[in-house]
Amino acid sequence: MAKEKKKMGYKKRRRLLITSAAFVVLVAVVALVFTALGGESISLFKKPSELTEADITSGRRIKMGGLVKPDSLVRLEDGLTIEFIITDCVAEHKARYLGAKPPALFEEGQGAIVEGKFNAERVLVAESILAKHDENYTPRGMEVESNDGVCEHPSDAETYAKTDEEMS
Amino acid sequence: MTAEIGQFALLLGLMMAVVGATVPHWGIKRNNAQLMAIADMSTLGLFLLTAIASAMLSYAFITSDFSLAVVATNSHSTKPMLYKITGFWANHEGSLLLWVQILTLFGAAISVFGKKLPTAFRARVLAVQASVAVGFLLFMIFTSNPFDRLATIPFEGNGLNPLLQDPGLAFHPPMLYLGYVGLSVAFSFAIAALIDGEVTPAWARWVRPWTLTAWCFLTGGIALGGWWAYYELGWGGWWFWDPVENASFMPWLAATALLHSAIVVEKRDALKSWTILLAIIAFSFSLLGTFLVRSGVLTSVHAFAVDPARGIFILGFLGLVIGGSLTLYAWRAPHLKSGGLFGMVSRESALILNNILLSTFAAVVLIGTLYPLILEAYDGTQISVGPPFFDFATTVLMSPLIIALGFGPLLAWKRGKLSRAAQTLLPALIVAIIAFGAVFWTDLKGPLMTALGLGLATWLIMSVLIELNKRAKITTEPTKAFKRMRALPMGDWGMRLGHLGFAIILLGITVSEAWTDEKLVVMQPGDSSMVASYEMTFDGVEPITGANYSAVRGHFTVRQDGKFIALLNPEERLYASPVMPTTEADIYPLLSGDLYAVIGEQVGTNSWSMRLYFKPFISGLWLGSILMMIGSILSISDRRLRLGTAAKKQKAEG
Repeated sequence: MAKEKKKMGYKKRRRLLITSAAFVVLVAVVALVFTALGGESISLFKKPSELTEADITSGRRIKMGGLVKPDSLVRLEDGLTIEFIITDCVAEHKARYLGAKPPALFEEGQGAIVEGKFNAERVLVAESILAKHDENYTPRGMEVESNDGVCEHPSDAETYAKTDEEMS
Repeated sequence: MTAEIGQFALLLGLMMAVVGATVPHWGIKRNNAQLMAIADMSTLGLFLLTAIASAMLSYAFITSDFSLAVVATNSHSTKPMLYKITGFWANHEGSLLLWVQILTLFGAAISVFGKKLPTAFRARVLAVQASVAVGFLLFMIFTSNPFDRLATIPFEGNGLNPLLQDPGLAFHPPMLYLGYVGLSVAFSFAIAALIDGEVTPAWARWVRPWTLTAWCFLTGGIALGGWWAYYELGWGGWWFWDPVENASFMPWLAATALLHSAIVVEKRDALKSWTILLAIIAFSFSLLGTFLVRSGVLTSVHAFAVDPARGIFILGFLGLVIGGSLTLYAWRAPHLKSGGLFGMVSRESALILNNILLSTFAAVVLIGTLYPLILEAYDGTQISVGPPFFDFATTVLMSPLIIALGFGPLLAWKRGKLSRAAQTLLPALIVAIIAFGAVFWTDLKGPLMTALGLGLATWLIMSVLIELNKRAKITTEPTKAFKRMRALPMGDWGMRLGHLGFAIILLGITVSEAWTDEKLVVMQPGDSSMVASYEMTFDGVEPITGANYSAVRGHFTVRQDGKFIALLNPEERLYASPVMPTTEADIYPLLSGDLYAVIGEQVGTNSWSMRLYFKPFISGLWLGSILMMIGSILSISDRRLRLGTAAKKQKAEG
């Protein structure tokens, strides 16, 4: 009987130790989540008209979604940088991207999302471009909201509307 | 006509599944063998019916039957045959059918290979398996029917996204699904054990091979996906921490934890209720992943508005399965008898630490993946959580895991000695510190992370070798070492290969991230660019025509110190239907790394933008994944042998 009791105590202690170890790890992780989520890992996802002055001057990461304004796409002297304007027909901002080529389906008049930070000249320096339905699938809300009536609709948007969800 | 047969097979299958999900429980209650036998019959019947439906859908894709909506939107008559066949699962509806097909395949496998299981228990497991099938069949038939006809039959189909027209991706979904759905077996075993209120070491011996099978496929599926991203997307990246990838990574983490905790149940009869919980969690992650990807909810909650029926069904089904099984767990788990005592320092404790770290990792990935969704639902702010978050979490959680991993296999069951293990591991520590120091003192981009990664990878490789040496006494008695090595259990070899594979993946990640040389240049024919120690010369372009695309092909000659190494021919393709450009990188794997060339856009009359890479030891990723898969196959082969002896023992005792 006494032996049994001792056994139980040991078991309980072991369980306590395991649970507290798990707890400590979880707390550490929650702390990690809160510190890490506050900094570089979060991009705010906004349309040009939703961007505040602080978004542009504070140097935080922004994902800006809208249409590539027709006739705004130019290639700079170096042959590797492109510059264009992203618009939601209410407001517009200039963006710049350095790369061998923009992703497939990135065209004037098409929806695109650029991710990066604004520089001192208020140009968004994009580290990545998501064109509609390319390999980096596009958040769905954008294609409907951004073109709404005001901007010219890309005629074949419907055709590819589903390809993003097949990228599993 | 064929579509109607498929449709009919699905409906009949649904009824069969409903019978299979209910009648066996009743049979077990009344102890009626005939009613229990219905489980086997309905399982096999359901498998055959789904096979008929799949055959009909394949036929529709192969013959380009555009009267079916799913074929018309996703196929094209000029598409190569391989992609007509794989077009089956390259869409929402078809991939659901594939899911159900694999689910019923696993059911049939339990029925056929599980003859030694107690009849009542097998009936219970198959019934749970059938319940999952009911949910999926309902979802498919009511919201995403692959056999829906179009009112007006188009002359030509829309075609398949060219990015998906690729051999790597053709087999990525079935492989991944075999992994996802394979976890349903562990889930069904767990639920059946909860209902019966008993978990025995024999239970773990049954669950482990199934979990290993699922894990093997899941590993392969994820690796194939990474490989595809690496050579097809033309960015040289293989993992982006995007939600779709995370959806496959979470069940992998849970399955990895599960196959480790099942060892403790099997060997020591402890950790039972935790293992049951893990089995439930692993499959829940699979369901969550499948549904999050399939519903499109991950990219934005707007997807729910696109098709409310699907979204609501998904939420309901997820709630029912996860909520239901967790409720069952909360109710029954406290009644499970716990066994096996063990000390703080022991193999058991090491495996628990592994479990804590892996499940915490899965929880962190889950938070990072769902946080944007929750925030958007809460106040409408749209954000995305990027790689820095996940990279940080990986470093913080995987470093202690790898350090502990060196010790684990050297600790004895019940009560181990940390000091003795540490003594044995001293050479590994020395090598790891040398690797760490060597990198740290050379000037590199992000030297600390590189040093840490290399230190951990060498530590792990060394510890695996030291453990093998300890068991086989290679250094002390080399003459008998080979004989000893042959006598070591297959399961242990599986473990060594699995851990070694992990180390090699880590090595591949670290080395390729730190020493990749990337050149972004504009080139004219005749121009050369130095990438690492390789001289890549652009020889020019030529137009070519493929089956359903036209392309520009660039020619590169690669030389090292003037000596010819390889030709690289990257392409820039333009597919006809749907009209879409794709980039075909050309990769030449060398022993030391990959030469990687991508042709960009024409920027002048005769010049092109190019992206050229040298990616050292990137093949470690694929090599390590293959080692992990071989390891799991070895472990499975061991289990099967032991299952035989266990059954014999049971017979002798009974």
